Amino acid sequence: MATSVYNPFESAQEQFDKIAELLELDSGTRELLRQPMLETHFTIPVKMDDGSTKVFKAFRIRHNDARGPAKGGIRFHPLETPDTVRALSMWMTWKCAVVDIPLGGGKGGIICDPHNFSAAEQERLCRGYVRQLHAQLGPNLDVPAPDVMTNGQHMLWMLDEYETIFGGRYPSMITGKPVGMGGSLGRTEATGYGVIYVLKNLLREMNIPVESTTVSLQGFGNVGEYAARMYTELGGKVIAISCWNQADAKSYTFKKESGCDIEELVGIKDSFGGIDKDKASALGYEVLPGEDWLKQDVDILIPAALENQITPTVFPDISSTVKIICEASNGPTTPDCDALIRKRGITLLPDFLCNAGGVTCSYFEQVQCSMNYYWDKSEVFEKLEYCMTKAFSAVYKLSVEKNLYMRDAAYIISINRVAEAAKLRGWV
Amino acid sequence: MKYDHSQLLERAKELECMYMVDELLHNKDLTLAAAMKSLTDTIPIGFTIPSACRIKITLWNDVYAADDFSRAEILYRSPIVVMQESVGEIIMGYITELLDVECDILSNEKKMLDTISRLISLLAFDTRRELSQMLEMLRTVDPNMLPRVIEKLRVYLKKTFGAEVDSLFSVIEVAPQQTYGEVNSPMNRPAAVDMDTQLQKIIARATDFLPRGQVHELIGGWIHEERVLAMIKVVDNKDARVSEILDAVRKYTEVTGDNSEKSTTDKWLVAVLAHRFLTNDEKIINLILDNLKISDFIAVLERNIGSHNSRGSIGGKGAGLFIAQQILQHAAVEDPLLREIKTPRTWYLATDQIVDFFNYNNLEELNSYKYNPLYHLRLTYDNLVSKIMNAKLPPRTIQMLHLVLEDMEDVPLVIRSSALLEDGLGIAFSGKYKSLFLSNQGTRQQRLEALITAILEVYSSMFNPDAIQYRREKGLLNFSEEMGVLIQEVVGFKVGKYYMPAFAGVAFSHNQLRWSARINRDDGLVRMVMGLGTRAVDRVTDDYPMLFSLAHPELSVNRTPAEIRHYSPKYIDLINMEDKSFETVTASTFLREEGTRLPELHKYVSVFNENFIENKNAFSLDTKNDDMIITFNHILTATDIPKKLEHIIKALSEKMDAPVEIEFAYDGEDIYLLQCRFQGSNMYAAPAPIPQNLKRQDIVFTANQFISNGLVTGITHVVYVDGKRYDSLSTLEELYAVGEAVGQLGGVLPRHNYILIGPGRWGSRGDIKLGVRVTYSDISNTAALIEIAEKKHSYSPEPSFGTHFFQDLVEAGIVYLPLYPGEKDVIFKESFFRASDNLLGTLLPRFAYLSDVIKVIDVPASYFGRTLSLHMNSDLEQAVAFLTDQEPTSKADLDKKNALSPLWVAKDEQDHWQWRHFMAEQIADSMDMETLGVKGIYLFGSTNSGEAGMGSDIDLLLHIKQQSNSQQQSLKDYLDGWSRALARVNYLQTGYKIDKLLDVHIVTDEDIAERDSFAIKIDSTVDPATPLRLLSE
Repeated sequence: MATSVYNPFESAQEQFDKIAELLELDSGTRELLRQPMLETHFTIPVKMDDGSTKVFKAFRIRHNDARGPAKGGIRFHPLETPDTVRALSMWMTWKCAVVDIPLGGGKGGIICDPHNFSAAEQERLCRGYVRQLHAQLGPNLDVPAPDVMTNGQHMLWMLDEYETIFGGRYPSMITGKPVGMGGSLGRTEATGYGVIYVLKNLLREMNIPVESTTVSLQGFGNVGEYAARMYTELGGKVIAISCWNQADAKSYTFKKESGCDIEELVGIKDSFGGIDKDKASALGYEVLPGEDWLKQDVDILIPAALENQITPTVFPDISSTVKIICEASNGPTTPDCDALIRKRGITLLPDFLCNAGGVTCSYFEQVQCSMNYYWDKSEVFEKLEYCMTKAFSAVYKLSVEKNLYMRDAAYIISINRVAEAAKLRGWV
Repeated sequence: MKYDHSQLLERAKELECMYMVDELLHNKDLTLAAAMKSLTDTIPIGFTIPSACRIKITLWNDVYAADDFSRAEILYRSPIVVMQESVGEIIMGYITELLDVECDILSNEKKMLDTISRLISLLAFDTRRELSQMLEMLRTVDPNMLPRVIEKLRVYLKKTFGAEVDSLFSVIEVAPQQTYGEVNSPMNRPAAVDMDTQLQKIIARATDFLPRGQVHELIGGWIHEERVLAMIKVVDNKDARVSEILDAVRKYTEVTGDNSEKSTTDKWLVAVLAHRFLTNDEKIINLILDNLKISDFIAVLERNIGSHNSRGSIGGKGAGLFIAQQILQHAAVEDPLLREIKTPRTWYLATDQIVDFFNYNNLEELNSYKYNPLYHLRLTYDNLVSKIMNAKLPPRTIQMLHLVLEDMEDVPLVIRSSALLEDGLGIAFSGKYKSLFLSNQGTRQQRLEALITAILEVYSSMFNPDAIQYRREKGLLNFSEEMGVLIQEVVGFKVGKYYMPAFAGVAFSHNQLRWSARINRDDGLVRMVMGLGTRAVDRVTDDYPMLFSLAHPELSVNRTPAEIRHYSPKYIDLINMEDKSFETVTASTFLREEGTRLPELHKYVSVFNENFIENKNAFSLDTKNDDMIITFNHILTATDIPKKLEHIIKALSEKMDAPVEIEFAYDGEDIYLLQCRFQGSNMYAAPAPIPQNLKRQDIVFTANQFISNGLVTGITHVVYVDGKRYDSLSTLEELYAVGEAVGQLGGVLPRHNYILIGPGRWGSRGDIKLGVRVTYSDISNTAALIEIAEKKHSYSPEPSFGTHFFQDLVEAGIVYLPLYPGEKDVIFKESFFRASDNLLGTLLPRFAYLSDVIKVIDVPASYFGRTLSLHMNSDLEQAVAFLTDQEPTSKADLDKKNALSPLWVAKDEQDHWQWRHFMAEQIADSMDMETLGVKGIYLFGSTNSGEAGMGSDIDLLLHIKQQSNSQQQSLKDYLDGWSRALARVNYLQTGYKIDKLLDVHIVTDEDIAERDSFAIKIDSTVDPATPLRLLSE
């Protein structure tokens, strides 16, 4: 066990260093990319409802904007640390680069617990954030989005403050806005569909017809549901879906060898978004323990729920029939599993490529706002598929050509793209 | 004399004024006071500037004046003189601000005032007229009272004026008789008196003596006393009928009016009435004395259902509601927010009617039923219910129920129990005595039958074995319990075929749940749902009633749209008027189907759209397509409903001098009060006593900030995550592994007998270093979730209050506590956690490498059989965890527990596991293991460890050989039979209903070799399975 203390930023730097080594980046580029370009630490005084004033600490960290304006969420958390925000901003740079959208990476946060504040106080906090930071935000500079404990309402308050300061309408300065107030259609579906667009392309490359494949899926929230819908639409068969059961406070796997009817299962979702156990049973689904999703004899596993689900401990449970693991959620596979996956010859679609549909849709929101013209859903999905396909092809091509693990290939592509941009700008 | 035009006008006004004054003073329908008051309004007409003129009249000790008289500049005083004695004056003035030009009083105006003064003196002098009027009135209204009043008059005059008065009464032609001394001859019967002539004489004489102007006061007072006496006679008579009492109360209030001042007699009367109709509880009677007037009782009496000889008590629940209603009505005088608070129409079936019912049906045997052993009660309860349900209500009751149905046409009814025992402090029969909803639809006969059936069902719940057992534990078994019934209209409106209130819920004075440091205990708490309040009243396992702080409705429990959606109410209870049934519907489906019919739906729901919560208005809400979630956002932020509820709770708890809890409902227009009781034992834990005199070395930790209520005893295991070590973990995987290990420990450790202690915020979704990453399922088996908030730099973090699963903790009754080691006056014994043996490696070998970080402490093993107790008291803001020798199941402890919580506890908890253990042995002994292909039978779990309670199952582990299908089936059948039979016996003993009592796990040789699943139990370190019988090879 290493003696150093776990630090999210340091481990993000290690990841970068590893790829930088492979890419043989020069020291200047490494120095530039392994740390944020700009950090703003500031305080926000807020008048509370009872007349007192509270002062909140806040950050905005811009990791890199060589490829375009920085993009990244704003988090409200009572115990936020700069290192977490630094790590996440770097992750945003790579994520935007891997799908080749012209954006850089950033992240921000306010140390606060929104559970303690009334809506009016939160509004003043949001406006305070923008008032202090307005000079460094903007459609061409740095574009915030919702993140932990923030949502469309917060974005609208921030937008309004920004527009008040600059005296105009700049809807593209922030994303995650509600539809009708500058938001994009299709955001609910984007991540799930994106996962399947990528998977579809992989299967094509592997010469496997989608219709012949089977999937076991973990999670039946937005991502899981829309991934399953798109996949079955393409002709694939979802054999098993594992999801959380609120009443029993544990998860179950619902299995149907002949293939799950997604519409039918969505129809029996209980009020908490889980699948109703009894109704599923009545419809002929086998109800198995939650962890059994992993043990199914399928071609593809799609973890779409929590992080840290595929660990060396459970890895042996994975059936030998599994050819692909498609990381729909963030970090479902622990790093020490990567070696095992490679050894078995399973193809892994890495999370930051696989679930980049979300950030791509955010980018689309910005584009639509800039034009002040909004697309219908089909147009959003069409463009999304194009983006995801293009992103996948590049990563896949590289992994084949250089015989790389796809996660490494994805990192190489994205870091290379950022390094190239920095070089072309003459920064390094 | 020549007048100019303006002067003529003035004269005309004066004349007009005098006519009106004359008319007023001769109006015999007016009382003197009313006449005087009217004069103050009339006289200004005669003055030059009527609008600015103000008049004040003083007469004897009374003052009559225009409201703003004090602003007037006084210009003239005209004395009122009666027989050379000044008894008052008329004062005239102008309010100068209202005058355009300066204006003095004219001489004619002075004359006019003097004339009016003289008229008033004449009127005042006319006592004779007054006296004769009063006595005449009495003679016609209540001739029986007249002689008694005259007698009082005589005594008064004699006392005041001595012997001269004697002549007065000699006119009453009654031969004087010697009424004292030793006289043996019987008295002559006094001759009948001709009242008319007597009266005239008395009046003529008494007028000479009676002080001027006091006639009314004196005679009025005597009449009042007589009335009270009449009341006392009726009320004091135990056999008086309810209707007689109602009459008496009505007469009494008609004559005396409603005085806010209560005489001692009034108080006595109120107390007697309260005793008879409301309660025997001394504290509550004091409360009634302070807050109720005699006339308030009319409402109860009018709607009292009982036989002629009923004593008419309305029972605890009825009394609670009634008293609260009266308190609010009185408080509303000064608090406009309380003015529109209503109570539903309620009829009261008197508590003693159940006795009549038994007599009528020859069911007197039931009086002794409660003394049967519990076993017998359970065995016979079903029979008893059907016996009662088949009996008949007495005809008089049925006759009155017709009245009720006439009054409550077309509204659904709720039939609530209101037993005598239901009013005591801390005694909660919640869930034991019934409340039933009736749609009240159909023909009169059908409605009547449904009503009767419901009443009978409520009656039978008095014999519910759980209720009897509960009384036995509380020492209330000998109390002669009687069951009253409230028949109440259900507050609400029709929505299609359904009937429901817009929302309903419970409100508490004390908030024992906190989700933010800004919420205080005294801020009050509301638990609210859409539809009938049944889901808010009881703890629900599959749903989340809306919670909000009364003082801070803006500080909601949930913040992110996803959280708000997840923790919103998912089901609605309502009445189906077509099926005539009580129904629970899924909120989303119901709102979509009936949304257009639901008035003002936009006030109760928000729309969830792409992770955004939108509050729409009546026009923008699309009930067919919007994803509606119940948030009550509009109600909480844009109406005065939270304020109203807060005022209700404040007014009631102030008057009752104790924290209260109420049930309420809202029909879209008004708030209705449905129930009120002292806040005591409810679904949220009561404050636990903080033991004093604990030995310092026994205390493991204490806390004094953000304490809620809770009591956890018999803690056998502690899972402790060491903050510093956790912080120093170097990889993300290790940090995740800690959460995973905690989750797995939850599956291995005895459910609800272990507690979790760890750094920072459990389940935090931010930086993993700031709290162990767990989900609710990982911690759902713990009894307490404890967060250590250690100071980092000069910054002491606020506790999370379990935010990430706050409502899950609330519904599951898991205690949450933040610890602040290092703060002043706080004990945190680190040696307890560091020095004790760590079981982690043995329990979860896979996580042995985390032994530095996670400590699993077996408390009895490390501390000589002692266990840990955690006592938390929010009233004192104190919590303490200490080692104790006391078995959690010892008698003394149980009593303490009973005093605190209404949970049903078996008399002797030991019985449960001993019986289970014995039965397990029986099963093993009687099994034909050879035939069934069984190699070994093991016992594990709570029955093995001696912790089994009445709801525990018996965990058996069967080691089997290769079995044939028929063997498998036979084994299954064999065990199934046992399982069902034991479950039935367990039910009869405890009332705990489960279908099967055995939990059988099958393991094979292969499992044992691989130490798979339950096979590890066979030689587990903690709680190893005990072999019951092994087949010798």
